[in-house]
Amino acid sequence: MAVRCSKCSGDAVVYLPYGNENLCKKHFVESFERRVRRTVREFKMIKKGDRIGAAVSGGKDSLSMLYILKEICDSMRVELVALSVDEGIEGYRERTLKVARENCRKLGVEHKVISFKKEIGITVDEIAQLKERMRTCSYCGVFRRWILNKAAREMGLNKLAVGHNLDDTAQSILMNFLRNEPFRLARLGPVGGIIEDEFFVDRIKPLIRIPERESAVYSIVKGMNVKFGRCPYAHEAFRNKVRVFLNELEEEFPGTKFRVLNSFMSVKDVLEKKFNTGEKPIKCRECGELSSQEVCMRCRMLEELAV
Amino acid sequence: MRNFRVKVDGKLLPIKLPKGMRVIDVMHKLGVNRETHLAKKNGKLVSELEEVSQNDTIEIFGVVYGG
Repeated sequence: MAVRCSKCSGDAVVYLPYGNENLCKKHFVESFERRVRRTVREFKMIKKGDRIGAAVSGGKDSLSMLYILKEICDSMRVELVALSVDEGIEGYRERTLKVARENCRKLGVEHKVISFKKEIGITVDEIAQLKERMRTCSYCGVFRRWILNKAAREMGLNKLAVGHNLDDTAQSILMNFLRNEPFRLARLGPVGGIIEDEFFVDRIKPLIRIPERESAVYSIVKGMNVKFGRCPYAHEAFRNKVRVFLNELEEEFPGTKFRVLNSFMSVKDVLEKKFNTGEKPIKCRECGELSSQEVCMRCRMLEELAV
Repeated sequence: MRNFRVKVDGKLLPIKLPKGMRVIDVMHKLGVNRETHLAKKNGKLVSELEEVSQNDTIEIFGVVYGG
């Protein structure tokens, strides 16, 4: 006997322990989309006249976000473009880019791919081959953010939507506490970014209240053909420990991740006031992009890598 | 106790379970976290509270990897 949906007599495809409900395909999709729409509305993420860029890797989170943004942007007559970054990771990125391309075609969303090799001059595979360097993920993160901001601005986009979900956010909150870095907490949140400047394209996070496993369910029931897997270079030890810890807590005490986010949101204003230095970013001497120092992190890293 | 054949992340594992077990019990028996894995029964995505029988094909797969 199949488990029935808590809202109809259909077969349940997922159990949501924090709400103690089983949902069928139809009701899960409705609930998921309603929650994303509510987040977008609550934080005024999208306004008439916006031009939105969606950072799409081809994974479950970014594609789930793209599907809902497409509907929201269409209903508001807001322009939506998908941006993908090809970091040059053999055997991994081609596969996810193919999925991204197929889904963008299916949705009728313009898709632009920007490559590390072309924009930075080096691929992640090449960085990984070099000796005496930081973790590959550190370079990749800095370069990817630099590329996305520059590409979005050059395309005339004023907002960049990223697929950060509840799990990512709860992990970041906890990590910043555990590392005693409250000033970083002040920069976290559903909207905005690390810098407030016209040169910086604002980030929006429509999935901030969506647990990661639910974006996986959504991608399956919507037939996105996503391949579940991880980047071969992804081994940030501390984040992994925090992820395992949070998932174990969530299994035993459903709703833990929501509570971490909600607690943070209730003190976010205080943190912002306390850690707002009012410091204005400057333009990097080398590349002309925004930086907190004379030479930005991307340029310093490239110098270190001798590119 | 009955013998079950469960595929976990592509690997077929034989396990023994008493009658009336649910997908969530299979996950716990295998040490798999519900937060990181989903389950299919006979090729269809199901709630973890779904009961399993000996004739069912159970597939448990990871969806939360991070990175």
